[in-house]
Amino acid sequence: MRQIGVVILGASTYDYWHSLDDPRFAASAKAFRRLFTHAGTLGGNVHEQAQILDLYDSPASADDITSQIVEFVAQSDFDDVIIYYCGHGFISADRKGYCVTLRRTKELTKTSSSLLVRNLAHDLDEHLIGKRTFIVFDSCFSGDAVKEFMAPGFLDNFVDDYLMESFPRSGTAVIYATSGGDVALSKQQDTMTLFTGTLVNVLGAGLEARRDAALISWRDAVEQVRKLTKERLGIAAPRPSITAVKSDDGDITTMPFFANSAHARAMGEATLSPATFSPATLSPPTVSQPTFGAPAASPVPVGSAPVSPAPVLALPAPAPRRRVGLMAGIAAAVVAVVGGGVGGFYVIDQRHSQRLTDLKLDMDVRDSSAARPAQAAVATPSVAVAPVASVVAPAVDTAATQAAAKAAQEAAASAAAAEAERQRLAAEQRAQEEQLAALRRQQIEAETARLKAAEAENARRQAQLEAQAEAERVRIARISEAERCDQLAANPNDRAKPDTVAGVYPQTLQLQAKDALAACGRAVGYFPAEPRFKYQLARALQADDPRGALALQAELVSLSYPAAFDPFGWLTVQLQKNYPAAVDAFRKGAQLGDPTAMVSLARMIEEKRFTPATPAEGRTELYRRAAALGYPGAASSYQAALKEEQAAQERLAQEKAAQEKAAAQRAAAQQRPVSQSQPRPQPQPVQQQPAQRQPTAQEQAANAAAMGAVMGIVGGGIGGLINRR
Amino acid sequence: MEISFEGVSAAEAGLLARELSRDLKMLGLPAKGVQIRRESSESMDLGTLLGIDLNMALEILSATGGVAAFAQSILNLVKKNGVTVNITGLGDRSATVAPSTPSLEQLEELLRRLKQPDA
Repeated sequence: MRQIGVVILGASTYDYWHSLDDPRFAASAKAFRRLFTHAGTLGGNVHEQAQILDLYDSPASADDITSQIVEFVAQSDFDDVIIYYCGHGFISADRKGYCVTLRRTKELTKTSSSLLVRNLAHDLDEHLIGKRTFIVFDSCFSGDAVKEFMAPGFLDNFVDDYLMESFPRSGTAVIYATSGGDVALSKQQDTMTLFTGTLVNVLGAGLEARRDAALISWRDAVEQVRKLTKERLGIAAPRPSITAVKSDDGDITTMPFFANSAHARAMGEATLSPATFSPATLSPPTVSQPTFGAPAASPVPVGSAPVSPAPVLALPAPAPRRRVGLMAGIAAAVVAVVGGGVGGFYVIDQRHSQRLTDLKLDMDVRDSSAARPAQAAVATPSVAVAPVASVVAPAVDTAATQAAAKAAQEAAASAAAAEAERQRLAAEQRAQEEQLAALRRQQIEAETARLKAAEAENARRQAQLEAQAEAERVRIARISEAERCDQLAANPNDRAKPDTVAGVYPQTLQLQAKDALAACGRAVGYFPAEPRFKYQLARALQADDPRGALALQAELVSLSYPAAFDPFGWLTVQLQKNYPAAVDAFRKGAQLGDPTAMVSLARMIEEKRFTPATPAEGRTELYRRAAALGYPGAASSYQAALKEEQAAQERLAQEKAAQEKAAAQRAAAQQRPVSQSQPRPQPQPVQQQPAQRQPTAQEQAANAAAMGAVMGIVGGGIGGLINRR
Repeated sequence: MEISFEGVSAAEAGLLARELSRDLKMLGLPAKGVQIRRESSESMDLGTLLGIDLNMALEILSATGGVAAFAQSILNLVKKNGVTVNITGLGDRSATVAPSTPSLEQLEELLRRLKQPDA
């Protein structure tokens, strides 16, 4: 007979870390435990039994829990040991160990107050020799994460160092709820954790794909769990896996272990339905057909937490049926004796049956003479009730009657107690169901609210993003219009234009005036505070609507926009013939550094419409400044003006010299009669040309810049000044 | 303010959150201002997100050299582990620090912008 020891570990409530609480963990642990207390889960033709050390939600420390597990394993003679954990798991901060949390785990001391799996493995070491061991972790990072976070191949080392040496003989298998560092899940809409819930359902329903196999292995079950999990949650689902750590006696992960319910169904046998393991039936099982198992062979270890030596019978055996018949016969006899006939039919469950059997055995001991006829009647209970009553009644003596009556009373009391127990269990089950239903309702409501809130938040973010996108689109469109206005209508000599824009001269602008008007009109609308676009709009307007352009330029002149003074002046001349106003505008533009205004003012000087009061407003100086600012043609005009100025100076000097010579000759003529004997005056040497004024350093720099500008515009038509406004 | 880690497994993210938490405490962030949170109540881990009290974080960032130290801690973590760090929770502002973030100065600039919600 296979002996199985099951250890249930973990926590669903945390005394010092309430945020980790999760009732689904407890439901999972109960369901897993029930796998080994329910008839039919385990396979085999022999009566197999599982002893369970249930330490779930135990308030004991990690040290105490380790001790209880080791004692449980050491003091029993198990063939298979299953250690199951359900709860929160984590990698220790030094990345060298895997820890599972317990009820007393504290946030501040989570490593020392949790159970370090390595320590448990060390302590179990020798006690698991010769046993098959299955370790089930329904917790985070229980799989390849260990390998991933330790040294390369750590999982192997981990297993070798800490697990394999603990399970050296018959092999160990480790079942992980996750692999690859993923988190295990406890879905809110479920009543159990994802892994255990699926495992329990798989074992309850069996494997249809392998209906020809009466038994399935752990690997079969885990792979089915993996398949179902992936079908449910997609590719991102946690990946349960099973690893054979050491298998000297073969791969224990493929060893037949559980009964395959699908096979039993196919064979027409009574089987467990998946619903049997549903959360609604987490209370002790109610088996439709009475089954009995042998009492636990091994005593419960001293000091263990609640141990349930659960008798398990895989297949119905003759003995239970015989006992059912015996029980029915006794009951019928008792009813006949007390009531004088067959008074009714009892539906008797397992507990009632067991108690009545015990009662019968007691009666056998106390009164073998009374029991013997009853036992004789057992052979054919269905037809022997009346004969027993008729044959036995005359023969019974008073003592036997009293004993039978007493037994009947006790049976009735026992039945009442059993009924009360049944009702209590039923009430407990209902309460659990209601609690779970309420929990589920709360979860659904919370999930619904969360989804609604998330939906609203998403809608808000979407609207915000759309608004931002629209604003950005508008901004880009406006910038685009502004750039187009610059490209179509900017003045090359406008010092306020962007450096990246070349600008266009009036001749070119006239060709694209329509587009320029449209673009600059929109740019002015988008950026009303930027005077450049208004100036460029006026430039585009000038050919077709000079009055409108004049109004705009006047507005810009009032804002002291330097490039506006020159066109304002020329428009004044064009429309009003008002040269003084034009000169005034050119002067102000020149003062503000606009090269076009400088050149225009120079033209006014040349046309004798303005006489400069200071050298700074002289024609040469104006050309020099314009050339220094890069105005095309200004450099050559400066050179020409400079030459004219020098020629004028020379003329002045020659005239002065001639005047002086004439004056001297006149004076000599007046003195000649008086002094005839005076030697003839020697011819005067040619008077030296007046020394040319040497340019100042500033003028030299300006000259150099002007010459540079001249060289820069070779081929650009330097024959004369062009009206570049 | 919340710091999350991308490009690594959940287990690694949990360890990185703990590592960064320790680093920030060494910078002077009070222990109560740092908390490791779970990404989902459905996860059976102890947390992969690092929550930081905003006011306390701003105190650190506003201190002399605070931004540089904070940036250095994050950059070390990012470079060493090849992880992408997301910083969120300052209004609608957020920052992503990828391993390709070229320099400490760039990260400091990111943090300075976080420090100035109205900027």
